[in-house]
Parts: sequence; C-alpha cells; structure tokens
Amino acid sequence: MRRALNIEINGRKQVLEIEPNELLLDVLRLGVGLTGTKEGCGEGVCGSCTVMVDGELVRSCLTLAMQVDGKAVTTIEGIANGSELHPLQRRFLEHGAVQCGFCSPGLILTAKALLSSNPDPSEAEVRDAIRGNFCRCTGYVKIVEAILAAAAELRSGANA
Amino acid sequence: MHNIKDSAEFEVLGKNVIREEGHGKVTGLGKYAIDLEMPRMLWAKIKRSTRPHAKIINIDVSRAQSLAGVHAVLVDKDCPQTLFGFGCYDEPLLARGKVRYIGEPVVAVAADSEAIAEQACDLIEIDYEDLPAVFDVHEAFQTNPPAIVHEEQERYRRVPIGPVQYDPKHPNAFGYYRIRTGEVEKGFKEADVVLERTYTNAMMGHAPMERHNSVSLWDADGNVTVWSSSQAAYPLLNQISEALDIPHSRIRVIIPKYVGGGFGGKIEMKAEGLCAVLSRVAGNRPVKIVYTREESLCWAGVQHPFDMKIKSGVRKDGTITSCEMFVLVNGGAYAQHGFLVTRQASYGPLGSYRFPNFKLDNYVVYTNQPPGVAYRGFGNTQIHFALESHIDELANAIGMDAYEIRRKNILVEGEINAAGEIQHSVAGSELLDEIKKGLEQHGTLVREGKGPWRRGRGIAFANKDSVAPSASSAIVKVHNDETVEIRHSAGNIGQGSSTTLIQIAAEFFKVRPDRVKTAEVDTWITPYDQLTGSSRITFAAGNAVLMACEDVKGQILKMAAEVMQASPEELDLAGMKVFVKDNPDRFMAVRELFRTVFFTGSFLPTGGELLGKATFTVPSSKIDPETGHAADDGMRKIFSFCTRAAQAVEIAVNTETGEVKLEKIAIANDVGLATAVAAIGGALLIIVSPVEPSLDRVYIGRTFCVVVLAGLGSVTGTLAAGIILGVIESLVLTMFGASWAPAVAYGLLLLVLGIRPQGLFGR
Repeated sequence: MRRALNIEINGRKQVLEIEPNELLLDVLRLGVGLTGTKEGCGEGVCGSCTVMVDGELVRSCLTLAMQVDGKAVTTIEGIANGSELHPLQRRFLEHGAVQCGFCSPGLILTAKALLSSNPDPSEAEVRDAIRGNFCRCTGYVKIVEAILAAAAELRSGANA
Repeated sequence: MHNIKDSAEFEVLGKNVIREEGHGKVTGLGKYAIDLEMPRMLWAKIKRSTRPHAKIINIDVSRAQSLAGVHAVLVDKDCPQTLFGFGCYDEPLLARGKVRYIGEPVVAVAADSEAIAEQACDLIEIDYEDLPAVFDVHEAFQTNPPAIVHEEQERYRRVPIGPVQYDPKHPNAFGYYRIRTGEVEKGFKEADVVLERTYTNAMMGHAPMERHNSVSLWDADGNVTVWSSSQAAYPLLNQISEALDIPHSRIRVIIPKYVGGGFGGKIEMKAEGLCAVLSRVAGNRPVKIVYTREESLCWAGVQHPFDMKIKSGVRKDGTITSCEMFVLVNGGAYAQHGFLVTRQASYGPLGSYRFPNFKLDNYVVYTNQPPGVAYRGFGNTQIHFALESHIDELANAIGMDAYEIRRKNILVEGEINAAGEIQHSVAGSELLDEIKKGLEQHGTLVREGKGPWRRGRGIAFANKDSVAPSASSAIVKVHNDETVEIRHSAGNIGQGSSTTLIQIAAEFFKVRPDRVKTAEVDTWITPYDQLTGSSRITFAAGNAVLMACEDVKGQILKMAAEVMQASPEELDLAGMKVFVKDNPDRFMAVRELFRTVFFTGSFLPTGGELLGKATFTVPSSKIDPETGHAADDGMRKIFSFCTRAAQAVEIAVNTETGEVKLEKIAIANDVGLATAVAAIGGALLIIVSPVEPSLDRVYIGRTFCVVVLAGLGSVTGTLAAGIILGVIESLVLTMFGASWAPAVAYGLLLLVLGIRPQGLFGR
C-alpha cells in the first residue's frame, strides 16, 4: 500500500510514492538515485549512511522514510555550491583525508553538523564528533586535520 | 634508460597531488559498484549452510521457485561442474554433495528485489546429515584426523610450486613448503641459549567499508560481463573462466574507478561467477548481489590464523646461530589464497635477519572454518608478529637490548639470505637507527606512571616482499588536445594508485598532472595486470606506464622529425613540445601533429592514434623444491623486491583495567621515492589512530616547518632543512632544556620567513 511522502531533498520539495516500510536510505539511493549516501553495515554502527534531517544527523539505514515526512533532508550531493566544493569537501581532498572514500560522505556531513553548532571546535571535540563514523583506510589523523582546517576557513569567511 | 631516473629534481613526483577520483568521492557523485543499477536488473541472495560439515541429503526449492518475483533458483547441479581456486583448484560454485563450513553457499536465488530474494531463501529447505567436524588446526593435521574435509584432494589440480603438496600422512594438509639451510642441530649446539616458543594469532575480517558486491550479465551473445568491487580484474577474469568453463575471450571484467577498500579481501572471485549463471537462467538479465556486512566479514575470506612454533639458538653476544620454524596455517574449508599465503609467509622471516642455519616446515591445512585469503601482506603480518616477539624473548634471555640484538643480526646490502636470495636496497640498519633516535628524543623511559599506569617501550622490524614473477602492461595514448590517457588494469582500491601512475606519466612528459587521466579498468580495453596486491602496483604498473610513455614518445619524435626536417635523434620532448636538443627555439607542439585532413576532424595525417604500449616483467629464479632455495643463476631472485620498516613505541598500560595507551611512536619506512607524499603519509598514520589526539602534531608541525623552511618543492632543500632543524633542536635541547624544543621549529620558521619568504632553498 503505497503512500505519499512529502520530503525536501537538498532544497528541492518532492512528493514520492513509497511503501510505508521503506528505509530513508533506500528511498534516497534506489528511489531518487542519490547514491552518495552509502550503506556500510545496515545496522547503524558505521556511520556511512549519515544524512541531515532538518539540520540533525540521522542514520538513514535505521530511519523509515515516513519518519521524515514534511522534513528537509540534506545529503552529500547537496552541500556543494554548484560546482564549487564546500570547504569541508575541499579540505578533505587537500589533506589526503579521502582514500577509498566510502566513509567520506558520512564524515563530511557529520563534520558539517558539528561546525554549524560549534564553529571553533578543539581537536578533542572533532574526534568526539566523528566517533560514530568508521574509516578503515586513513587512521583518522588526516580527517581531523581536514575538519579543523575547514573550520578555520569557515570562521575567517564568516568574519570577512 | 628513462629520463625520469636521471633527473635529480622532480616536478610532479613526490608532490601532493589531488587524487584523480577525489571529486567523485567528496561529492558523492562517483559510482562504486554498489551504486550500479541497470534496466531489468535482478537481485541475488545466497542460501548458506548452517552446518560446519554435513552431507546434503535433500534440497527442496519448490516453494522458493513458486514465489512471485523469483526468476532463478540454482543448486549445484544447475551450475557448471567445475572446480576453481587460486593455485589449488578445489571449490565449486555451490556446495557439491556436502557442506564444509557454516556459511558455504548452497542455493542461489535471483528475484525482482533483494527482499523477495531473501524471502525465497527462507522458503528453501535443506536436509543435512551431520558429519564429524574439525576446527583446530592441530587436530586437522593429524594422520587420523576427526574429519577429512576433502576426501578427493589427491586428485585436485595444483600449480606446480614447492615440494609435493599432498601427503597422505596428513590428509587435510593441502599445501606444504620447506626451507633448509645449514644444519640447525649443529647451530643449536653452538648457541649459549636455546629458546622454543609458540605464537598464535586469531582469525580476522578485512571489513572494507564497501561490502563485496557485483553485477553479472550473461548476455544473449554468450559473453559474460561483470562489474565488481574487486582489486584484481585479471585474476577475477581467470577465476570466472575456470568456474564457468568459458574462455577468457568471452569474459569482460569492469572495475569502477571507485572501490571502497579491499585490504586483500577482494582479490578472489566471490559471487561474480554464480550470479553470471543466475543471469543466464533468468533470461540474460543483469544480476546484482550485495553481501550483508555479516557475509562480508565472515564468508568472503578471512585472515588465516597461524600457529607458529619457533626454536632459536643465540650466543651471548646476540648472534643467532640457528632457527627452526614449524608453522601450521588454518586454511579453512577451501584452499583459496591459503596455497599462496603459506608460500609467501614461509619466506617472510628471511628478509629481516641472518640465519646461518635455518629450517622451516609450513603446512596449510583444511578445517571446517571459513576459508582464508590474503590480508594485508599475504601471511607476512602473522609471521612477523611471531618472529619479532621471538627476537624480543631471545634478547631477554641473554640480557641484551631489543635494538642491539636486531642490529646484530639484521641483513645488510648485498647479503645472500637463508633462502639463497640476494638482498637489494636493504635499509635495515638505517631504519633501526632512525627509530632508536626517534624514541630517544623523548628522553629516558619512566616506568612508573600515575596510579596503576606503567610504561614500557618496544621495537619491531618487518620486511615485505612483492611477488615474482610479476607482469603489468600499460597503454598510453596522447590525445589531440595533448591530454595523456593511461590504460592499465591496476585497480585503485583507495590507496590512490591511479594518481601515482598519473604522477609518473606527468613527470615523464613534464606536464601538469591534471593533463593526465586514467581509463576505467575494463579487461576489454585495459591491458593485463597481475593484481592489485603484494605491494606491487607503484613498482610494476609504474614501470609499465613509464615504458609505454617512452614508446609513445618515440612515435611522436618520429612524426615530428618529418615535419621539422630533422632526425628523431636530434629531437626531445618536454611539456608536449618537440624541440631540437641543440636549439630549443626550434620546436613544435604535439597538437600540431594532428590535422583536419577530411570531414572526420582532427587526427594524425596517417590516421590512427598516438598509442604507446609496454609490458614490465620481473622474472624469478628457479626454486629448488627440496631446500626452497633460489638457484644460483646470476639473479638469485625469489621476489620482485623487498621493502623494510621499523617502529618503536612507548605505551602505557593500566595494570588494573588492562587498558593500553599508545603514548609515543617512531616509524621508519623505506618507501624509496615517495611518489605521492600525502598518500603515503596518510597510509603510515593509520598505525597511530588510537594515539592521544595531540601526539601527531609533534610530527606534522615539524614536517610542516621543514618543508616551508626549505621552500616548497625543493627536495634536496627539504633534506637540508630537516638536518638544520634537527641540529638546532638538539643544541637548544642540550643548552636550554627540553621545554624549549617545540619553540625551535616555529621560531626558526618565523625567522626564515621574515628574511627569505620563499624558504631557504625556494626559487
């Protein structure tokens, strides 16, 4: 029994016909074709599927799509300004924080949420914020560096 | 041979370059295999064994077949009656007659959705008759084991390496290697202390973030195309060929530019062949399978548990006189990589130390555990863990320092090791000295910490060989806009290999790296590569790319010679300009070779393309099966090359809770020339991931200072700046105390930037 889902994805309002038991992850990936949101474990442990719903971080693999009815979802595809990368995306590249890249979308969104609530985080705060995001390649050092560099850039941009 | 080797200063190599596929990764727009969807695509699921060892009495698939949305249900008899493997050919696509481990594929289903396929699997009923099972490697190794996992193994096809692999006295052992040097008993008599210890390690999963997945299509023309999250296109192609009994020419393997990690766990075929059969049965529809995290962790190959007994004799002065190793590798239910992992691990210890007398027997044994595969070093991690632990115990036994005993026995340049292999580019002593210095700069160890915390220091050494014989091919195309395109089949699993190859080609042509790109790995387009594994890509594929660049350069010079009315020998190429060596003002751009001859647009006047092609191979010496020694054929070569590394750490242990904290670490790796600094730096830093947050700043901060001090881009300058900073730091440390040391780097940096903003050696 398909139902209508009112959802805003990356700034675009849409009405989707979905099954009530569909996961937000599957609606994004299979329904809308936004495959930047990744599934690593399927049980809310690894953080790869992290997206923002009304500014809050959620694990899209544990969220029914119907739960976000009437809300705004931001995925990794929605944070660049056209062809201009978000400072977090650019810093991840410049600092070598991306290797296989499978965890990067979740990490970048997690960092984005952190920086919007705390624009000047300490290194410990960054490490604490990304605790729930697994990375198997980098050892996290470069990721933390990239987030701190992006934070500094965003702060100087805000002051300018 | 190649001008790249002659130049002291590099313009692209050794620099930080944004990785080729980076944009796709940070924007989420890059398509991994797991993101692929195709019209008419079906989803597959595998019904796996719930028994470790059991006869299959009956499989009832009738309810699954009649479920709406199910398009194919396969059991063994529906599949080609073949056996595939990796050196030892023992595995059917689906369990044949009996199951040998929990998780073994028994039935495969293709359906309209993953959910329907899963539901169909639940409707399948399998009747088993349990057999005795064997899990422990010692029990399995017995002459009369509790269970024989492969009764027919004597008839299995094997590649002929090492001594006779099947021994009826050990009916579960499927691979055996031995090395014999000198006389170990005599060596034990010459020793002051003889020590025997056993080391074991647990089974582990690779856990790449992107789980194992693929799409297979058996099309109506009889061709099989596979898109896979794999790290080895050609080995996969070969395994599909063996499993499906169709020729290589009918198979096409495509590996997307985006692969979410591998770590050795994505070399072997997983369900690609099985899904191809599903595709054919379901009416030539593409069939996708995505392993669950559980399947990916447990049943897509694990790291082999090793049981390593080491007996060594050592003199009081630290000289190791003799070493005997007996290793049992728990291979799991199918050979898979076990056959080769065991061989590589057998030689692992011999690249580190000098053993005048050495004896090794290494068996890989079938059990009813999940099959093991390569895992970050083909068995080297296991064997080095044992060897380094053992060296520490030897040092303790004679009251010697852990550094001194290693320094005493470490192999040196040009030495012939205990397997008769000549050792090249050996940085053993230097690496040990580096880590010693690295840790010593933190002062002496204070064992007693606050409350229950105690501290200790330790060091370890390792070497890592790379397989030989080895072969990589590359094609390099120069387009009419002077873009260089590299076609190679070395899968980039996240380590950044395609960017490394881009840097090599960019350095050769003296062009910016963004003027070079790589083609997606596709075995119908990109040429042969042995595998992304065995630490071989930068060396093997890198040399192939370099040689292909040389080939295409020759063609360019020849064509330009006609236009410029010169001989090709008088000309050279740099920055996509062909110029006369003696008179660089006489030049033409490579793009000028392309003309619009007719309505087809801008091509070479002769038609065709600027296409260079090359294959780089490394031969190996014949190995004597009795002694495991390389033949004295002038090469004395078992591996392509061997790299070495050393680490020293200081850790704190909470004696009440057992918590361990890594407090300080010094890492010395012999990387040759770092082609991609950020990539290698990142790779090394994985080791320090659990370190307390502020630790890495010590290194990063200094490195930053050294690089800026030197002036960005100056390699020799960086070396000089490093030495300058080191000397000044030591002086300040001695004269003013340790608390001033951190100020030195930044102080010096400020001073130099004030006087000479481009850095000491910058242009």
